[in-house]
Amino acid sequence: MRGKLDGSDGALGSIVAGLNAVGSFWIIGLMLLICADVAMRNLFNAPIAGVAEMVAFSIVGIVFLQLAHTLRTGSLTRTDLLLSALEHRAPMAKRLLLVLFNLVGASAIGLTFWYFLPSLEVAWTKPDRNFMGNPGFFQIPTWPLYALMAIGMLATVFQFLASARDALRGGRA
Amino acid sequence: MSGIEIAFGSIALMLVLIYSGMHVAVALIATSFGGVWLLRGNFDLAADMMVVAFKDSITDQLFGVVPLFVLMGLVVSVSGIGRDTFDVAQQGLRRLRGGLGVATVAANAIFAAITGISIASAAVFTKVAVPEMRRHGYTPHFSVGVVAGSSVLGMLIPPSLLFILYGILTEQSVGSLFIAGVIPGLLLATVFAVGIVLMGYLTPQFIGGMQDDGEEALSMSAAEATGKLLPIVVLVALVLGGIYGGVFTPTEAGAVGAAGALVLAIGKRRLSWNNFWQVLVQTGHTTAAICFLIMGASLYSRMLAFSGLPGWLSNAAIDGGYSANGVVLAMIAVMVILGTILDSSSILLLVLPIVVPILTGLHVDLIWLGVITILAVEVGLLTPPFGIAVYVIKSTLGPDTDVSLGQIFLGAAPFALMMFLVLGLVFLFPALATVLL
Repeated sequence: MRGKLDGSDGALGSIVAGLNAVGSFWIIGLMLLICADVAMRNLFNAPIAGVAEMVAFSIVGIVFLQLAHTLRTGSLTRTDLLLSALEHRAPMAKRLLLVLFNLVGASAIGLTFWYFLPSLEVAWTKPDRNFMGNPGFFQIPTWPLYALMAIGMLATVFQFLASARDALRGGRA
Repeated sequence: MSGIEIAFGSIALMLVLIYSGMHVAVALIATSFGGVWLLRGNFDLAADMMVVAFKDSITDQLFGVVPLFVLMGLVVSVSGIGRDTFDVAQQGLRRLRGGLGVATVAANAIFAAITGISIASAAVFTKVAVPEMRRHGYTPHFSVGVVAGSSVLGMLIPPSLLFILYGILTEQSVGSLFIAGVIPGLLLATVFAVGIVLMGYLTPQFIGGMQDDGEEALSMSAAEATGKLLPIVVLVALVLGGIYGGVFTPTEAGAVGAAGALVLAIGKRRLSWNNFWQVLVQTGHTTAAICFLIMGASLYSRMLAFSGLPGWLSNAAIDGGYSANGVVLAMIAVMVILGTILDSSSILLLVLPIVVPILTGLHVDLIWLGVITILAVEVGLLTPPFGIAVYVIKSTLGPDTDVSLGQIFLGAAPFALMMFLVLGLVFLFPALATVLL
């Protein structure tokens, strides 16, 4: 499902791969965080504050950073029963189906992105009311997470559009 | 149009789209969005629900362990521990008819004790066992079918991500659930092994050439076999010992297990930087694909809840007979049917909130119900069109494989039947789940 590498797609490809790399390192961070918490709790009787919130924060961050790359590399769950049957019999129909599906994906995520923006704005302007955790104990503001989600959604929308374009041109998508 | 009709309409449309090849999560999201829009006649409300599904459905510590359980499974796979286990099992079982199939089941049963998700087992053994079986002349559909079938053991033998999810939804002890899964898990492995041998005698053309199994004398000494099994024993002891020794929670086991697997892999000098990076990227892809599905499924559950379909189904189940067993059987039927279109976590999220209050009133043991639930839901891993294990195997085989999705589903079918057998046994003899508690 790799896109053709012309100028625009090269830029999109680097961005998507960059987001993926950040998400991949984050997984290691997540592992070390939980292990550190287990060690601190058992060895020094001093659990790390806010691990539950940081883990919840991390998983959402990781997923949205990875989403576009997952789509780009064809790892997003789908069935190829009909598509592979069409491959030889009606290649044009297959291409049109792929264009349609990718456009539906772009619209769904794009619409979610548009309706999500107000949440991001509120989280940014009122960080004192938008946080994860318990006041006085441990708090993480939600706006960095929402910003990551917005970036991830936008990258995914563009990846869907790029995949639709590739399908239209007859590339592998 | 009534809510029930809209719900059934959305399900039908969703099935068509999934069959046609739309990304499953996108199909769930798009049809659920359309369903809510129709049900409430409010575009903004439908769009806002989509946003809520994205924002809230995976924002929980529970889902944080998804990448870590995946990472643990994949590190173990590149570190060759899965292959070592398979080699030893293969050595011990090569004289048996269908021996490589039985070896895959045995290795999976052991491997299941250090991995909590079926897809990790499916991915590992697709790489380890499928090439070996095909080299020995087994049919493609049987080779992948064994892997798909035995990957289910990963969810039944602790640690298990689905038991954790079930425990949270029903407020049961995850530790007890893990213990309850041990005997049914081992029983299922035994049934698989016996079933493979029987297939070897009764339908040899289905499983393919087993005659040359014994020809290659893989001379492996007892010491060598022990050396190969030692790392996995250490990992199992670390993960299960830590959980039951009270050092860490079952959800934290993913992180500790992943770290332990990394240390082992580096210690065995089997993990290059390049491999490690591949593993991390693949972990990210699997995590993103699962969690994106969960987001879609969560929106879908909300749409169904709006439509009144769960209540309607629940009434139908109760009208079919008020006995606890009747409700459990209806639940199993619904879960298996849902399993053909939804993933395991979504089914739990969808069905349990309806069924558990009814069954609590009827004094059903919720630990036993947990084992029944996981077995029923896991049948869905193997059934078309949405058997996740099957898709994982397909994607692990890569784009250049000659094995089609249809062949994988065909090969997995006997194993789905054997799961029904074990499900029936656990249903008739609840002690299988509860005797160790």
